[in-house]
Amino acid sequence: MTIIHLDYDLIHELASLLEEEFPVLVNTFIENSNHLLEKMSTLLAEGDIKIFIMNIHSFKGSCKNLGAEHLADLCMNYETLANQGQIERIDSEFKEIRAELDKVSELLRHYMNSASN
Amino acid sequence: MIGSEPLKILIAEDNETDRMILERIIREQGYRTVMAKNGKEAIDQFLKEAPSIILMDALMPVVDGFEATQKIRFLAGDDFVPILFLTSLTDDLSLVSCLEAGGDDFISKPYRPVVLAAKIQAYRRMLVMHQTLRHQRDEIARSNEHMLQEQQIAKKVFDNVAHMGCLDAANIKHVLSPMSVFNGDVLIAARKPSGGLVVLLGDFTGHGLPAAIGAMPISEIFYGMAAKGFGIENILREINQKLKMILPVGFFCCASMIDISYAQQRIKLWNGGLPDVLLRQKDGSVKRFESEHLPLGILSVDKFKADCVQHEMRLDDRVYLFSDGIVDIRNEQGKLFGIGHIYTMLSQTGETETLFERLIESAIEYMGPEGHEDDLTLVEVTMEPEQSQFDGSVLAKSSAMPGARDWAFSFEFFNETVRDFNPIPLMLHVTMELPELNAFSSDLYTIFSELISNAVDHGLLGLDSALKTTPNGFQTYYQYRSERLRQLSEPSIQISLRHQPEAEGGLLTIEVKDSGPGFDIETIDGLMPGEGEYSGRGIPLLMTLCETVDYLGNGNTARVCYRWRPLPEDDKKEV
Amino acid sequence: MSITTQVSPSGDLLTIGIQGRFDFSSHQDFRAAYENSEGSISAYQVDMKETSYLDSSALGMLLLLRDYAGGDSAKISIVNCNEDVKKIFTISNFELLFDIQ
Repeated sequence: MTIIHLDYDLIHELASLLEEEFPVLVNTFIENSNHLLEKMSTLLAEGDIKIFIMNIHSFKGSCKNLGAEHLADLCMNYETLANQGQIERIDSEFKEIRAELDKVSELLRHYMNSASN
Repeated sequence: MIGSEPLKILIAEDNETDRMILERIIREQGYRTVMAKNGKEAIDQFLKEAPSIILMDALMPVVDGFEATQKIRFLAGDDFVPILFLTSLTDDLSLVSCLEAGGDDFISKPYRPVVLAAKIQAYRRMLVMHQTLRHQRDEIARSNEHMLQEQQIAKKVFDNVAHMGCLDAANIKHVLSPMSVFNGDVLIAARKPSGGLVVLLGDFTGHGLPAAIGAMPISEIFYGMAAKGFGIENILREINQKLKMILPVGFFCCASMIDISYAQQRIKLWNGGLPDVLLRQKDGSVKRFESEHLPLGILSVDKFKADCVQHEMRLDDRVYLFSDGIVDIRNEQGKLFGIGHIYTMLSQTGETETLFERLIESAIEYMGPEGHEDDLTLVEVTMEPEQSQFDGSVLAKSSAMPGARDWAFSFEFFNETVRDFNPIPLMLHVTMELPELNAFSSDLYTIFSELISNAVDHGLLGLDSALKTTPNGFQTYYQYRSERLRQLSEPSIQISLRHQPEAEGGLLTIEVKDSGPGFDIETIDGLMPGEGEYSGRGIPLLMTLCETVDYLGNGNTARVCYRWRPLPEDDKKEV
Repeated sequence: MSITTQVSPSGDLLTIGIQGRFDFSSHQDFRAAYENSEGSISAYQVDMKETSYLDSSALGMLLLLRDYAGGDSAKISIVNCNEDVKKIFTISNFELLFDIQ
């Protein structure tokens, strides 16, 4: 199965919808996502599982809205694990998720640059 | 409210980028947006901004979507505020929770503008429908309220009219609930100047306002004529005529009327369309008087029959009139209460003082808890010892002035007036200027009536009264009469009245002259009282009532002399 | 409640059948039955075979028909009356105005 890092159809739609605010959206997404990952690490460390689940669920949602399907799937996996009580299988440093987020961020920046050309 | 302004939509979403996207999509579609970051803000914004539609994220901090939805539903009360859950939840269980919390629909992530547009449109249409329905419902409620108020006013007017009478006399017991009045029941009673009572029970078709309106003129006629001493037949004729005139075709009044004379120890009754009138005699035997006539307001004046049945009525005998409300009562098994039941109860010997109350009680008991007590109309009149029951103040009003004792009055009418005008009320009116003649109004009515009909039918039209002797002939006779009246050329009738006082009482001379050819005076001698049953009246009747009956000229002038003496106190003549 | 109409082969008798309750809600339908009939109807027949109930507004509607059909000269017969219906006609003495069978 192909991994979809970014759904370009959706991105096109968002770009034409938001116009000059599209970059704001993208930057907000990237910034907020990174903050969220920090927060979730802390939550895991403190054992605040319920709030963790809420956050990763929310993160998953916003990834979907930005067309970052693979990133959303990764979140979904962790959400399921947490729901099943298998906290020990969750990487508290979110290495895989961070890598994917970086990839998506790069793709988004690239998109914005080419759009303005 | 859906007005001309764009819809206001509340967006409750905790994720910043999601919020941005959604807000943009909604605004692009032309709606006004109100934002909230969590459930608490959502509730506050709802109260402050009153949005029409809410997009609610399920999982939010502080207060989540479920709780916020429940709260907002409660606050919205009767109003319809569609709430669409924003969710990336996909399992059915979670979706069900959204619905149970009060959500109307779901929107899943990623947000697609097309989907959002379609859903918002759909709910917008629902909002319009809901508003329209509410509006219509309120309109109807207002209209109903208005109608109820009007009916209550009509009822009040009616109550005032109805209470002019003597329903609260000692020997009358009655039940007439407000609902019965709404259902078209009318109950009126008045004392007669000659001693006695007249009571009318009416049941109009078309309940409510039409009945209340119909009750008004008949009450006026009833009280007016009763006070003047008119008998039951005359009152019924007048009431029927009035109702025929004012009620549209298809509306009528089933009625029973009684005329009790204390002096003569008898009751006269007329029943047109109501259940049997029951007369319970002191020994417990019960006589039934069935409806023999068409209800009031159907027949024209010439077809109407005021014929009454007569029966003796002695001290402590009781008469019962009721509308079909009590007869039609069914018990829980569906069995009818019926006349039979009432008849049986009345037939029992024993204590009669509470018979009326016991009758009502048994009816109410029979109908069971589901029954309507409010459609019972029932009246009991007991024969009283003869006393001066009459309210002297009524007579006193008319005898405050001495009255016309020595006078003459003459009146002539021609052509179409002969056909269209009934002179009898005028003749009576003039005659009643002498109040003592009130006691004889029934006789005088008969005399005037007979003289006029003779003058028209025989004098002017030359109709053969033999036609009237068969049941169908009666109808033919009246039809023929109408046609012939139209064909007459320049007919006229002249009436002269002369009253001369005597030492006691007076002498009233009545002359009626018609412009017809007259007849052979000799032929009337052969007729005996009792001949010609169907036509009822005849010259012999005049001879019975009047001191003298003469025919002058070539037979086209009839003159009768009516001598009267004031009635002794303890032997009042029946009216 | 439903109303059926039938014109006789000779075209001058209109039979109106009433099924169910004949009460105030029947007003419009009943009127339509005789007002909308074509041709020259000189006599009417109201068939009560399937009439379950009759109240005073039904009596009023019959009076309206009678008025429409010429008043005193109207020819209206009311047929197939069951006991209950007959009783109502008897108490109101409508046989004086209609031919009741």
